[in-house]
Amino acid sequence: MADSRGTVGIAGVGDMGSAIAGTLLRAGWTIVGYDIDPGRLDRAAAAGVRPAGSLRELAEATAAGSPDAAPIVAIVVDGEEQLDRAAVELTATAPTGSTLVVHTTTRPAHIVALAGAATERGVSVVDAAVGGGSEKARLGALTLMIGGSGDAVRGCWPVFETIGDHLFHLGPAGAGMAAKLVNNVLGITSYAMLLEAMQLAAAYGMDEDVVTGLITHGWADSRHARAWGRQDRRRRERLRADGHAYSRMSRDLSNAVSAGQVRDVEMPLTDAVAALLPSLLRARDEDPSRWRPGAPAPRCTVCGIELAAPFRAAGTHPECRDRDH
Amino acid sequence: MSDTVGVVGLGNMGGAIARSLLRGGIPILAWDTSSAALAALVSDGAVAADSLADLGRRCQVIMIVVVTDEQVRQVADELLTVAAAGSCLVVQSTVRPTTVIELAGLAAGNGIGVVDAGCGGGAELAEQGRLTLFIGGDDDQVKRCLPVFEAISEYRFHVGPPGAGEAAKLVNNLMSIATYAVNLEAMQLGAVYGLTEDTITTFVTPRSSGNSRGLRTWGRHDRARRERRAASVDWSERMGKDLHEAAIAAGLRGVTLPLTAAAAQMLPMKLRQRDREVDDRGPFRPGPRCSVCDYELAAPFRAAGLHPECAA
Repeated sequence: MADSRGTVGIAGVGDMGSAIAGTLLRAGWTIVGYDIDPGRLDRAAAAGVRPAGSLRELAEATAAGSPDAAPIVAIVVDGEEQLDRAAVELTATAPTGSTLVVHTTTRPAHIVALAGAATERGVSVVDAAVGGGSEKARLGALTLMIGGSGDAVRGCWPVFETIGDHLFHLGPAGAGMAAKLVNNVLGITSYAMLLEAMQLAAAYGMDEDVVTGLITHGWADSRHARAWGRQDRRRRERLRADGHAYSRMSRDLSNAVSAGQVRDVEMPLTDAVAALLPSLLRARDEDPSRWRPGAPAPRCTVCGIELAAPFRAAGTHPECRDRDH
Repeated sequence: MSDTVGVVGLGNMGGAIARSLLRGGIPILAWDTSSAALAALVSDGAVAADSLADLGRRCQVIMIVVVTDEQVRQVADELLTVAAAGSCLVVQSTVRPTTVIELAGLAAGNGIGVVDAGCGGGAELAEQGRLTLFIGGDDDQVKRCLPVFEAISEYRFHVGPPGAGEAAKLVNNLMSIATYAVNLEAMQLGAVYGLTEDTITTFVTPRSSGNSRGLRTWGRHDRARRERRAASVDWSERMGKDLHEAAIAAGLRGVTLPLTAAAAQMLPMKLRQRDREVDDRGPFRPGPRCSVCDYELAAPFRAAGLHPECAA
C-alpha cells in the first residue's frame, strides 16, 4: 500500500467500469470493486481489483484505504435503476466526507435529487459524465463532463486526470449530465442520419468506403464518418456480451428529450430518432440488401477506433495525430 | 474527331465552367437559347454552334449545364438523335439522380455514354476552376472526361455508376443539413441547463462522436441566413427543399428515409425559430473566421485562428 497513490472504490465493473479500473491500477491506484454480477467481479479481481462482497463493504474498504483523503467511490453501473440502488446504498453506508462520483449516464434532475439526499449525510455527489467508450477509458483518454461543488471536484481531480485527458468542470451537480445529454444528442443523431445517408448512397451504387471519402472532405464531415465501422463492431460486442445492442442509444436520446421537456424545450427530431433508431440498427445488422459496406476497417494506432477509408494509409485519424503520446 | 468540348447552357454556372475550360486551353463549341449569353462567351474565346443539333454532331464530349430536370431531358433528347456513337454526355446540372439513370439507359441504345458530375461549390469556384466534383459513370467514360474535369475542379470523387454523382451531392446535403437541424435541438437543451454554445463546442472535442465540421464552424449558418435575408432569399425554405430532394431520391429507388423526411418537414420552422432566438439575444455579432477557409471558428479554435482541418 505504501507505493499506492490512494484507494478508489468502483461500483460496477462491466465494460466501462473495468476499463476505468484497469487504467487506475496501471497508474498505481488501489481499486476496490463491487458488481452484482459475480462473474464480472471475478474477472476484475483477476485483473487486480480487490473484490468487495457488497456495496456496504465497498464503501467501508474504500474509506479504510483512504485515511488521509476524502474517500471516493465511482459508480459505473448500467442504467438509472441500478444507479439509484447503488447511490442510495452507498449514501447510507459511506462515512461523512466521502464523495460519490457518478459516471453512469442519467438525467440531470436525478443527480440533483441524489446530491440532495447525500448532502444530508455529509456525502458529496459529483457527476462526471464520460465522453468516449471503454477504448478511450483504457487509454486514459476519456472526456469528462463534470458537475459538483468546487471542493468535491478538486478532491477527485487526480483520479479524473488519470482516466481522462479532456476535463471540463461545467457547474454544480447535474451540469455534467446535462452536457452528456447534449453530447449524446449530437453524436447519436448524427450517427442515425449517417445511417440514412448510407442507404441513399447504396441505392445509387455507392460503396460506404466511397461515401466516407466524400463526406469527410467537406461540410458533412463528422467523427462518426471518420470512425465508420466502430458502431457495427460495438453492437456485435454488445450482442455477445448481454444482448442489449438496439435500445441503448434510444434510451440515451429519450433521457435527453425528457430533460428538455421538464424545462420547456421541445425536441421533436431527437424524439423521432429515438423512436426509429432501434429498427434502423436492426436493419443495419439483419438486412444486407440495404447496405454496401466497404472493406473491414483497421483501427487507429492512437485512439484504437476504426479508421474510415480516407485515413487508412496514414494509420491515424487527423484529430488523433497531434495527440500521439 | 475533334477535341472541342461542347457546352450547352451558358447561365451563371455554365458560363463560368466554359470560361474555366477555355483558360485551361480546351476549345469550346457553345450553345444557349439566349443569343446574348452565347455572344458573351464567344467574346471570351468560344465558338458558337449554329444550333443544338449542330453542336451535337460536332462534339465528342458534351457538357450539359442547363437548370432543370426537364431542360436536361429536352436537350439530351435532341442530342441523342444527332450525336455520334462513342460520344459522351456530361450532366453538370443539379438534377435528380434518376433523371441521369434514365438518360444513361436511353443513350446506351445509341452507343453514347452518360456521366454525371454533381458540383460542390457555386459559380464563383467554377470560375476559378476550383469546384469539387462528385462523378458518376462507367470507368472508361469518366477517364476520357478527366482532362475536362481537371480544368474546372480542385477535388474529384468518382463515386459510382451514372446517377451516383448527383446522389453523392444529396448524401452530402443530407448529412450537413439534417445534422444541423438536430444540432439546433442539442443547443436548445444545453441552453436551459446553463451550457453556452461556446462551452458545448468546446467539450464536444474533435474526438467526440458528436463532433462535426458543422460544429467546428458553428455560427456560420446564423450569419449566412442573415446575409441571405438581407438579400431577400428565404434560405430556410431552400435548405428544407434540399433535404426533401434527398428523401425523394431515396424513395424513387424504393428506400424510405423517415428521419430525413421529418427533418425536411421541420427545418423551415426550426430555422425561423432559431433566427428569433438569436435576434432576442441582441444585435447580431458575427464570430471570428478561419484564416484559411474563411468560415466561422467555434470557440476552441479561435486562439489558433484556423480549424484543425484547415491547417493541413
